[in-house]
Amino acid sequence: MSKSHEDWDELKSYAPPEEAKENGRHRLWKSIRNEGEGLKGNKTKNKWRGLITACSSILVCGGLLAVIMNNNLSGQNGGDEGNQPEIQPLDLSQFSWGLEGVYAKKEAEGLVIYKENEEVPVGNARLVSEEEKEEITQSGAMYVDKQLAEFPYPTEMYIEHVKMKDTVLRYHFFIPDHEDWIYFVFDYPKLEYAEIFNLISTLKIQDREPYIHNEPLYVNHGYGIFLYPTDLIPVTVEYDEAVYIWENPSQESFAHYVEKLEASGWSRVPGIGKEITFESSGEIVEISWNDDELVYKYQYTNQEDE
Amino acid sequence: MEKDKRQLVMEWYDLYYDDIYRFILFMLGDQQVCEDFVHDTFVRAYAAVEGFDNRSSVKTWLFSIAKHIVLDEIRKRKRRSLFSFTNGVKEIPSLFNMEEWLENREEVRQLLTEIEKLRPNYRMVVILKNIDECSSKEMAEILNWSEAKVRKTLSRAMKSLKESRDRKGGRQIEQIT
Repeated sequence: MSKSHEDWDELKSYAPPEEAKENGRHRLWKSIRNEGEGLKGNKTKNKWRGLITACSSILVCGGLLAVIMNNNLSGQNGGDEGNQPEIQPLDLSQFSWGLEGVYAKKEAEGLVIYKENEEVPVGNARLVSEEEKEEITQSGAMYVDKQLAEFPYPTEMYIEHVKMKDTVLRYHFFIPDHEDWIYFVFDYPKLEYAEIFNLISTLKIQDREPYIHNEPLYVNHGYGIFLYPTDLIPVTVEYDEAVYIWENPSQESFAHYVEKLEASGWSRVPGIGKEITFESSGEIVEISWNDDELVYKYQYTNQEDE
Repeated sequence: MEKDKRQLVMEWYDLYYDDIYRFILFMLGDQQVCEDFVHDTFVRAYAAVEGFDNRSSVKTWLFSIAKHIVLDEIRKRKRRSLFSFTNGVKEIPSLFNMEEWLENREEVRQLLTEIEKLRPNYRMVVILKNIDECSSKEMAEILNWSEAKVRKTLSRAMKSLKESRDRKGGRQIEQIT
């Protein structure tokens, strides 16, 4: 390589100071929040709350059950075994999950997954061969490849960095199914992190007994390093604060969560009161648990003063 | 939806901050203003997100916003001497002192000085191509030019840069392909 190339490489490698980026992030957040206030009025939290309360699991499960009743179950497990090179389309009746407000529709060879009251799909599911799986995982810009061993079914997760207007990350989940793979895809932020993991961690596949882990499950959201329980439902998620409904709250579970966070490398900041504060690499996360709500407040060190 | 929009722009910020920052910094050579303009780029993106269509990528769209801001700035003022620290003059204090970064990088400093002397259009294509690694197609989208015009301008810009460095007795400038 010539020295001239090296000069360009040096310029390419120039990284803006992390401190400036953090300050800029804080400043940008304040600007767009202020700008957005005028547009949105006073709605989000109560709207979400109302929605979640109104949508009972019976509605979703009932919807899926109704489809189950109407579907012909006979061809699900391969059907004609003498003639099997073709991958069988997935059937709606094979799946259910605990996440409310998210449902599937049968389309072509798979399922298209929607959020209630949204026209744009948030994901899809289909059966893929080993070769197709290889192709998928090697074609995109996959940044995370992880085994979710303690989930109901052994699951491989890949996170793809997607540069689209309405999608930033694409989650790919592969669950082994004989020689093939059941393949789920979800787009973030069409579906929030907590919703994606809530769905996958409560997935049930017909005629396949799910593994029930004897401890709560935790995951990272996106590329983050902070752990979150999988049984969360978003109420409001903002840059500096997130409120989630915690589906299985208990004193014991909260203590377990705190233990897990400490074990994952986050330092607990001594303090009194209901809030528990953790710090790691310049990020401070304060957690408070109230009834069925977990509230997270995020701060970054070296921020400009308000 | 408003929440999603904000979240989306914050995600874009995390993904493209470095690229946009480098582009603005090397176009204007002013770190203090650079931080302001990076901020303005993302605020404008937020305000215009409804009108963004998927014909271009988010990256080229953000670059095109930054380009307008930069050109506007160049037009508005008699541009402050780019990379004035190369002459030992202190810039407006910022969070990071680029002089430190350039220490022991004499050739890089020289290259920046030569880039500074290019006319804005040349500077833009040189930076987009060689530093931000944009393809001709992406540059055409950002600059709203034809690809042919991009290639022609880039070729002239690189030639101009090479001649300038040769005159100084510097090394050959090679276009990274």
